[in-house]
Amino acid sequence: MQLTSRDARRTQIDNQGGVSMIAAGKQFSFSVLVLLFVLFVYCIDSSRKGKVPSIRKLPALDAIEEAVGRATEMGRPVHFSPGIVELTHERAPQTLAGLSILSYVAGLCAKYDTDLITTIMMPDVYVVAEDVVKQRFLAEGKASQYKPEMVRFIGAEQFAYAAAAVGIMYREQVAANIMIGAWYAESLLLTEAGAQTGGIQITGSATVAQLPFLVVASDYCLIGEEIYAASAYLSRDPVELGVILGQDIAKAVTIGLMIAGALFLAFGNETIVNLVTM
Amino acid sequence: MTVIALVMILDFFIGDSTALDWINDTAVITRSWGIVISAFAMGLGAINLLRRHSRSIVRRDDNAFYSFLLVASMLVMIVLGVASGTESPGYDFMFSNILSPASSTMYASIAFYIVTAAYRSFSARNLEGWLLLITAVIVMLGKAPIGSVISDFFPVASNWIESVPNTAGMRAIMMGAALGVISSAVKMFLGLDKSYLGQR
Repeated sequence: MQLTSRDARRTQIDNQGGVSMIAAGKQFSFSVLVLLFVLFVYCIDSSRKGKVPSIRKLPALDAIEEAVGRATEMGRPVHFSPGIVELTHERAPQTLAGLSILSYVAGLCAKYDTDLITTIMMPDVYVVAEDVVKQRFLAEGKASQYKPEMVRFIGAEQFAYAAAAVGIMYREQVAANIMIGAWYAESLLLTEAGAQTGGIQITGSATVAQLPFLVVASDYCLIGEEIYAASAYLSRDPVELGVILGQDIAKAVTIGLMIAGALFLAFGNETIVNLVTM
Repeated sequence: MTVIALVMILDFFIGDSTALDWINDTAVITRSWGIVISAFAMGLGAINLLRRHSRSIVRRDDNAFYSFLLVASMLVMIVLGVASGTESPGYDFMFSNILSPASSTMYASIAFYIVTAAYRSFSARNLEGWLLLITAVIVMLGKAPIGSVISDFFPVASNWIESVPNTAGMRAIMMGAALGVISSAVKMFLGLDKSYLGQR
């Protein structure tokens, strides 16, 4: 008989011989999540009150306008892909970050009357991407310029998608290839195709195994957390910048905790190790 | 969306309290909705594909032949799958003898793309380029049998590069990305960021 998630949880708790609102082994994580939430809300509030933090330059995001402008001058399309994972995948936040940047790219394409080709592998992402592009063309007052062909569903098969996207890049001679999202083995196939068409390539991912390929094969690359900062960077919205400040504070605390943990452990004290595994 | 997000977060963290079983039940139902929505999305995607390529065939575009192949393959697989099931010999034949070899071919071609990407990036025009080139040469010699024949230094240095600086860098990126995910989640949770829906 297959256990349901509730049965499994009960069994786990029975084995641990304890009863608590928060599952054993997740108490530290839950506390950190609550603290982070409070920190982010505080930073948002502080930013709203006028203490707007500055954000460092991200050349990859600055280059998007240049890439779209170049495509416009050449009369060739821009290719965009938000990665290959579905919205329910554990790496879906990368897809959402990609869709945020797609919104910006679609806005630029609408503004400059540039052709946009968005290739999509997963069906649920296709539906959202189609709406994102349509909304941005509408917002730019270019609803009549929007074409359904701008967002192309390819098929939920990894290498079938890669083959089709590579073919589209060659046949349509894209002048810019922008790929922000979660990638697997197909990343190099796509970026090399983009390189061979001679276009500007802007990529980004938080999938560490694929980052080396993206870095060597593209002109600009957003690494890890940079893809999540894109929305704040492009909008310069004080509220979103406040969240970035909170993220940096959290990062500093994490680094401090790691150093303290290493030092404590070096002297035989396991307090921090016990704390984080609570 | 905020309510659903809250339910999913609590479902991950809650312990054994019977009073909170409704959270688990709600999370299970929500996940089922996700599956149903994905299935409908697949239908919409298939319609998009058929519409675009049928138009290409009717207009006799330059690539109409490829569009015809795509539509024909799609229809054959749909008919085979619906009529005889995905376990049937006909469906299995098409899958094992067309799709699998084609996917393997695409995967294998990555080896050649690695060479062209490496050729471009190992140009050593600046300090970073030189560092990348030297590191790549050490790692390649450390992995290839000839490296240990030349010197024992290469396998040792290669392993050190992979296990120390490379692992440290990857972990740093992963931790930064994890915080980025949480910050994005908070923005969405509070309804502050709707750019992924095409809204400003």
